[in-house]
Amino acid sequence: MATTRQYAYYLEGNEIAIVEKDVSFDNDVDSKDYGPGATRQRWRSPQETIADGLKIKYVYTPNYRIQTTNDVDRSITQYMSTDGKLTIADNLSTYINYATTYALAADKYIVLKKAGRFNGLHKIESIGDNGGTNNKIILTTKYTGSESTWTDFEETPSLFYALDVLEDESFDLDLPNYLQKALVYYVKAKIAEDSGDLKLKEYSMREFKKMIEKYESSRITGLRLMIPGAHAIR
Amino acid sequence: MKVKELMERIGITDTGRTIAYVKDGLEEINMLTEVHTKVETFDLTKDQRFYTLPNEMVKMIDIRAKNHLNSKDEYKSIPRMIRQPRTKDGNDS
Repeated sequence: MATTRQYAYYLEGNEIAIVEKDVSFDNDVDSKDYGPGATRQRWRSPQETIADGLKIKYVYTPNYRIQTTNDVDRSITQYMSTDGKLTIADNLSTYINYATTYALAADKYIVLKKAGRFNGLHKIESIGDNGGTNNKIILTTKYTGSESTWTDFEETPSLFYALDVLEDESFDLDLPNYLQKALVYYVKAKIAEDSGDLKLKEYSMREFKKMIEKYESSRITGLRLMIPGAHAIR
Repeated sequence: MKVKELMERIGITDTGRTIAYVKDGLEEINMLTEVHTKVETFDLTKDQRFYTLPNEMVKMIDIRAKNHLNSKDEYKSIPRMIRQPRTKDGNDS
């Protein structure tokens, strides 16, 4: 049976800090924590390595659509930095040729999933060789890291290459119908702001927010009650 | 709705500016309504405190840790600390 643990987090910059309550008994007589009344439970960095120990649920911006999830590659194994840009590669003996197998080339887009901090849309700068032929992809994404040592991805990333990207007027917005109409008001507000028409800007933003609230409200069914919190005096 | 239809509704012909504002709008909508969500899994490493958040993240909804207040390998939401703990990480400046 696994060990019960207690975690907490705090934020620092673009990083999340995970701490764990250390409840181990301190028997060191020279330690300040030794003896009755001393603080024995301290928040420290995680006490043990746990595979898939943390799950983060987050929101992202849908400025791309994956055409089909069948067109996916799972051969990417490592990453590093090349002149300050993220570089990913298949460094196993398979050495997939990304140019011929998936028709990847400069200025095309890919989406990475299960790639940790590198999840999301990336633009290809160039395809190169690393042990094999065209098995290395240099992206335009900025990354400051080792330029000499490859680092393994924690999981096996999924690379989606059949995409529609928001870069021209043929892109189909990936939003519910009602929110697409709200988006029209938002863009109207921005255009009005540019032209100095602040009345139109305020009106359009108000309509935008009203539509967002209506959309949110439409997903709640039944009676609406306000109940006291779990720690309230009842 | 395609971007073209959106431009026709507004009466604008400048594609570049429209696309820029559409991207802003998509971001704003998702921050308010959380339409598009994703779950990313990380390994917890012993003595490593800091983990980089995904670059594409617009808003964080939940953080869950394995075996938090249970021993059944369940993921439960973990609380946020108001202040940093007294014991600093070895890499903390």
